[in-house]
Amino acid sequence: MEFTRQEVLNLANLSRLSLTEEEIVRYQSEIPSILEYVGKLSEVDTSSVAPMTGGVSHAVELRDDEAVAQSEESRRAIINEFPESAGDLLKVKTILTNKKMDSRPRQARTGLRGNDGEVARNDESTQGNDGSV
Amino acid sequence: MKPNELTLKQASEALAAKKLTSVELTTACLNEIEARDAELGAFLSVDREGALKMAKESDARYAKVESLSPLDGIPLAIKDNILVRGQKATAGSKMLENYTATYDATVIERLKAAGAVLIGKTNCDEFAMGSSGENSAFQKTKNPYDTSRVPGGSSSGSAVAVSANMAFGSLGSDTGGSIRLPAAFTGVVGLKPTYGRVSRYGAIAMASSLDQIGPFGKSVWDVAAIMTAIEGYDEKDATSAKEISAVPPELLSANMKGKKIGVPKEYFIDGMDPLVERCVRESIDAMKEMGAEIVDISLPHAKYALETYYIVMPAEVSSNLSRYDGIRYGTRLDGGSLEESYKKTRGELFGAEPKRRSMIGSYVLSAGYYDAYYDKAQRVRTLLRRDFEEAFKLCDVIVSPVSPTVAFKVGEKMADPIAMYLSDIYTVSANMAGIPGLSLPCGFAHGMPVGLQLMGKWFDEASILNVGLAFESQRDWRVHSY
Repeated sequence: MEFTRQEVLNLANLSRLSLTEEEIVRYQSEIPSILEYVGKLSEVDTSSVAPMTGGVSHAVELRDDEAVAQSEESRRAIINEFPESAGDLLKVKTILTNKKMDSRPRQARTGLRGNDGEVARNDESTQGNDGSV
Repeated sequence: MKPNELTLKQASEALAAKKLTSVELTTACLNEIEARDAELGAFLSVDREGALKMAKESDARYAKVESLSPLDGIPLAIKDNILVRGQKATAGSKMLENYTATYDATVIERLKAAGAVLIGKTNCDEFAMGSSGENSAFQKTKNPYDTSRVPGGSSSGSAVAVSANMAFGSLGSDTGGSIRLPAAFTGVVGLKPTYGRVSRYGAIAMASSLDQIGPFGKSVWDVAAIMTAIEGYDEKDATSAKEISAVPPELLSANMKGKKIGVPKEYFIDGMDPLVERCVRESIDAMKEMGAEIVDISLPHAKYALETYYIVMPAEVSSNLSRYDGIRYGTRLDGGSLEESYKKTRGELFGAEPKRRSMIGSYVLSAGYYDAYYDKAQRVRTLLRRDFEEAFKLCDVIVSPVSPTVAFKVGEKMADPIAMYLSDIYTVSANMAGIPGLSLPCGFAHGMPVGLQLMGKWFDEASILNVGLAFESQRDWRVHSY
């Protein structure tokens, strides 16, 4: 089984990945061979089984969704990690242009139009509560 | 014997008896790194100054008889996908090559509170994806027993640091076998705790329903000592379990008598190296001689575990890796428009395995394929869990090989992803079901270490540690060669 070039490009698009020509060719055979391998599961009868959705059987507890004040040191450390900044502000790409304004979904709610980019306030935490950065 | 060749327990006792100082232990480890790490490639960064500062502070505590724990003054190494404030955390990826952690993971906060000396960050497969250590974007870690062979992955550097006496213990992470496999390949002890026992806050996520941080050590006691320091409820991890009974190493008992040890018939399959099989089977015979009762058990869905894993895990990977967009941290590459910048950043900075898994994940989660793949796998995952629930009605602990082979040659499996995935065939089930798994050395085959896996009931690390301690104290694995 082989994927068409377009099938690979569709998956790459869903994953927001640019691929080289060499990668496209490799994934055309590699991805279907992995899917064929995992497809063996179709032989298991699961008609009377509920899906297991997560790693724990105890109730997952969520904390209150509230802003917690950070120390200046912590704030500074986070700002230092910005790939591009203007002062303490995080610089991001233009997401709305006049031409494409109506055809594109809104992807971010923070952002002010600038000339060669947009400047957004860094008012969101950079860490989730799922043990990750 | 050089100080860095002691076990953690021996080093801890020497500190308490004032026969050695933490500065001496730390210097010995740093010297070993200096002497051998150019060849072995275990560390991505070494914090010489920071480690010596922590060692001096520890020595001051010992001088005042105020030591904090058995880990006080003990040099430990940390996998580079765990955040240590102010230090690089690359997760083995170009995406985070210049990222400095802005906070401590909970496990790091706890190790610091226990007085441990953090000596450096260790190499790993990119975002912990790999079974050999070869997927790191920066360097290949080599097996200390034979540098033409891989050390196993993904926590390659953490295993090698302990195996080569560059640290007394270390932390790794295990999503499908990433602690147990490199422990087995390099002749050290590694523990994948029950899901929910150790906080994942500050661990760079790969597959969030499977990931668990755990320790490596030179002995079962050493692993139990590190475990005691890091485990326990943490409000910053929503899946953290509240009520667990700690197992400090002094409460372990090396007694095999009357323990019911289950041997799953499905785990001795075609394709397993015959010498590895002999080594494992004779180890099971030895357990019987030590007084254990060996029970035949069945895990009927075990043959589907790897397939299930390679649907559930990439689905979670595709979601977790979506945060690497070059916007808030990490490296940003400009591709013109926002969308093209995402693609360029991710396309050029992710290596082959993260890309492959992201695309597989996107596929199994897409409309039209979701039911056939993702939903199906989640249901089989329930069956895998039930298999263990049934098996544990008949036994206290399940014993199996860690992997079908010993450490393979560098480069041998890089061209064939499925051959690489098969290294984890015996380890993924514990992650799918959420149970703990201990890997401990049980002998040599082809001149390379062989690992024995002990799996326990949910939150019953005590049983596998007790059986492991009994096995280790009554059978010297170094003299059994096949």
